[in-house]
Amino acid sequence: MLTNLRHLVEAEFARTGRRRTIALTDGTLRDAHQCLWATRMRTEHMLPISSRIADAGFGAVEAIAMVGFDAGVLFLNQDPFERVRLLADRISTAPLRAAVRSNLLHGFYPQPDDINELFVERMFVNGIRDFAVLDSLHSWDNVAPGIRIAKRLGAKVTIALVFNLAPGYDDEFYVRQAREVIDQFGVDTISLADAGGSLTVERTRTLVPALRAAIGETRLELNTHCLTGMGPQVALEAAVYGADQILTAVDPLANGNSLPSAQMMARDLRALGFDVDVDDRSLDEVGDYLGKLAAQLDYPVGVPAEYDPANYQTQYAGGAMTNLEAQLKAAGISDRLPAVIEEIGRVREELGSPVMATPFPAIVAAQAVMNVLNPERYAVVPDEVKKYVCGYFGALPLPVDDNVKDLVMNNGSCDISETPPQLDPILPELRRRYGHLSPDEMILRYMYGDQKIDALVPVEDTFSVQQSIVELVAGLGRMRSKHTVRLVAPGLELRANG
Amino acid sequence: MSNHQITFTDTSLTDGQAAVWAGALDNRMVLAPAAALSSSGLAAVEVLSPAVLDECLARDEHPLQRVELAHRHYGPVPLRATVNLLTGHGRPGADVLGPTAIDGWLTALAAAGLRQVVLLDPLLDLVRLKAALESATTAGLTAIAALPYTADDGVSDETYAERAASLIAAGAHRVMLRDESGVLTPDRARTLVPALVSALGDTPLDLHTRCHTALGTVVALEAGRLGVRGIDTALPSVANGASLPSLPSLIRVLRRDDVQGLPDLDALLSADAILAGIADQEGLPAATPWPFDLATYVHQLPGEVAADVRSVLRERGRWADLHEFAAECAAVRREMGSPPMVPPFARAIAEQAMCHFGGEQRYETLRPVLRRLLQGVYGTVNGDQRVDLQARVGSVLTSECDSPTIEADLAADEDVLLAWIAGVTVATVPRRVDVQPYEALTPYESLTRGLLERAGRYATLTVSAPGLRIHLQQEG
Repeated sequence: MLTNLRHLVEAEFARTGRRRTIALTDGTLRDAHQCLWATRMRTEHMLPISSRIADAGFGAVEAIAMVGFDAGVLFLNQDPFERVRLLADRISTAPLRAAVRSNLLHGFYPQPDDINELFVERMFVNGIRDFAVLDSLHSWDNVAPGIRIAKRLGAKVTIALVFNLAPGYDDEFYVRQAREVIDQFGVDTISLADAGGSLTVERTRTLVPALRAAIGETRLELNTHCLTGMGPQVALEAAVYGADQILTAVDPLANGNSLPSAQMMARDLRALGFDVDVDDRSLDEVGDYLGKLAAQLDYPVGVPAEYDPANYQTQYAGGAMTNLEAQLKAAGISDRLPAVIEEIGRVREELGSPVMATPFPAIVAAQAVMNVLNPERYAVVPDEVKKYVCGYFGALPLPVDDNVKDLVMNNGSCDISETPPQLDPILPELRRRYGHLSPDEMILRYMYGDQKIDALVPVEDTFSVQQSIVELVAGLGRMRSKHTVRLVAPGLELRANG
Repeated sequence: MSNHQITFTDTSLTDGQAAVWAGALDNRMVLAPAAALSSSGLAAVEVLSPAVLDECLARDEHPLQRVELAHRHYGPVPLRATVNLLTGHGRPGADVLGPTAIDGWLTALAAAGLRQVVLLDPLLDLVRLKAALESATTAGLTAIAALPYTADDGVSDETYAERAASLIAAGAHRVMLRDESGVLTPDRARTLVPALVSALGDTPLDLHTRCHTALGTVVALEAGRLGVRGIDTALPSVANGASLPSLPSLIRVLRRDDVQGLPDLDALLSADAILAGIADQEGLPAATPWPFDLATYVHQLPGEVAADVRSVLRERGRWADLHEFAAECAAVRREMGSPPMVPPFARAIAEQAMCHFGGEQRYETLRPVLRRLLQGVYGTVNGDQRVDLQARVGSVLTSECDSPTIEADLAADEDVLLAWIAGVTVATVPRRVDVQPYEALTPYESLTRGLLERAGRYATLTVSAPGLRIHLQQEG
């Protein structure tokens, strides 16, 4: 293993005369707690350690994604723009990155271009310098307006190609997508984004070189997750086979459902013969802090997953499966679950194998249920399925089966136009309503409603992982005379006589 | 998946508990999962290993009684032991267990109820192995010869195949590819396993691998697909990490591949629930997988040793220097002639490397096992040893036993034999005692028992918790 990989690295060095430096992108403040803590790390939890993260030598630092916006506002009562600002104040050594979920600013329907453009602009103003853009359909028209704004402002643009283990998503598919976004936008980085951790070592050995060869000087990033326990090896092999940078998290928020560990990746990449410009001691300090933070909040740390190849099967995702079971049970047809699961596989492929990320699992499942319950497949077509086929969510990456397309068009609701409606600009109306507010607040009120935004609480940078009782005892220990000690605090009085 | 039948041997009671619980599974605990484990369709259950032998003696438990008890409680499932022909205890003459000692020990094990034995000679001395394999066969045991695997040392598949063939010629009934360091990869398995299967012909190939690099389960599945017939596994409570692949996890995967004739998952999970209960009650650590890490391929430390090193480096705040330690470990191993990283060499090499890593001048001191290795006491290693170190320690001549008296005693007296095998004095050999299966207590029973045991220390003792109040007061 080690010898083989070293030989490959040495052979490349001999061939090019250049020892490659592999950069690490930090996902601790974004992806890691999204995977392990349901995106519940609060802004004040990030601030005490952000300068250490800044010192650690990452190539880029992820600050937030749209899930972070949702969780921040809906569950933490915090302003996500404020988080970006506060992190940008403290992290200036590496570009701060935001992950942008297509044009789905709010909910899972496309939003008009003007609000998406303003969003990117405001993120830049608040401190984002690297926009990592993804579209589950690989429908680049959806994201073109935002990308053009980002480029105009001088920010870096990273395009995430979402890895999908499905028919048609072969290496050539990804090469095609990569070339298209480079030609269309001139992006800085292509990120192979394996959110489900289903990229195998074998596939990495073909897909990464194929992308590397196709994208010229554009940087190539690998973003995998550790659900099968194979993430670290996949990431190392990706570096050997041509990736320039790896998305990692600082252990103990690495592994499990999260990203490979930054500390281990740095050590192992160096052992393979790469240069890695991160400061291991800074990473360890960040790791110590995160361990204490997890303990204080009673949140889990990342525990390496046991290998389970079920993850590689194109099965229905866990959360969506739970929903489906509940729905079938409510309809009194829970006994049809196996047939529905099998039908989901067929429908998914017939519909062009969309990435099984929201909202597509629900759309595919709705059609599968109808197909199982009715004598003829596609005799009943849910509205969302017709909208999907008609391109309401964007152009489809792979064509829908011709026969199925005919059935969907014929049997779907006549009320749904075959041409997606034009999305009219929304900013004029928003400015009329919220013109007296800041653009950030206007966007947030549009996304989440007035009630949620009224409830936001400003961040106070007073958080510490030091336990007060530990500090108290340490303080007592430092006192010269302990004959009489009297401490008074709200709800507490402590007296001690020596 | 090929159509040969794959069988599984459970090593929870030996290597699993040694790697995860630091060897805490005592003779009472061995009996606790007996009913569930013996009815699960396993090919064998391993009950004794060199590490367990030491653990038993440290607890004042009789190792042969462990086998006898298991024989009574585990019904028809064959019991297995692993016996290493080389020891680390340093008793003159017993560094290599000679034919008389091995013959006596295997006979005693068979009499205690053992049916299978894995015979490990780390240096693959075929003369020694042949004698041991013959003794095992004579004692009525299935003789499994271990073929130690090490990574990245230039040993080709062909060489492994030749070694495997020589083990059959020496009398092995089965050959076990033994990867105690968990460094076999799926890539290597794809060439190595077919080469071994081809060399072995009708003789079954077994696999013992570990999960240090998180690849153990993948390797086991791949090896099974490629023709390995017997796979060593552990129950989830003591699987993964420095231990072996979890059998329930393997079964779940194999079931999806429609593999038939698998062990009974429910019975295995029942057995595991008992082990989990013991862990909970005794405060033993939970088994967790380790993440993939290239350093393992450098230091190549086996199970328990890797677990210990991991703890030490973390305690010293030097986890970030793991590769530095691994490189030193590899250097020491190389300077010792590159012996396989199995007992008794692996721990000694790790300890020597840790001395150097901790700041001691290189080889300022020398671990006793390494001294004897350099002196040639264990036999010949494949690689070149450092000449200056060899000169420093000199060489000694070895013989199996120091005197005919000892040889005669070994055959005649079980205590003398056990003391010789384990490297202890005859006086310290434990007696057989009455052993009842481990009794699982509820938390309340455990608490009350603990309080009552300590009641003499207190006049009054009160425990309060939501919904619970216990008050003990001394009378008089």
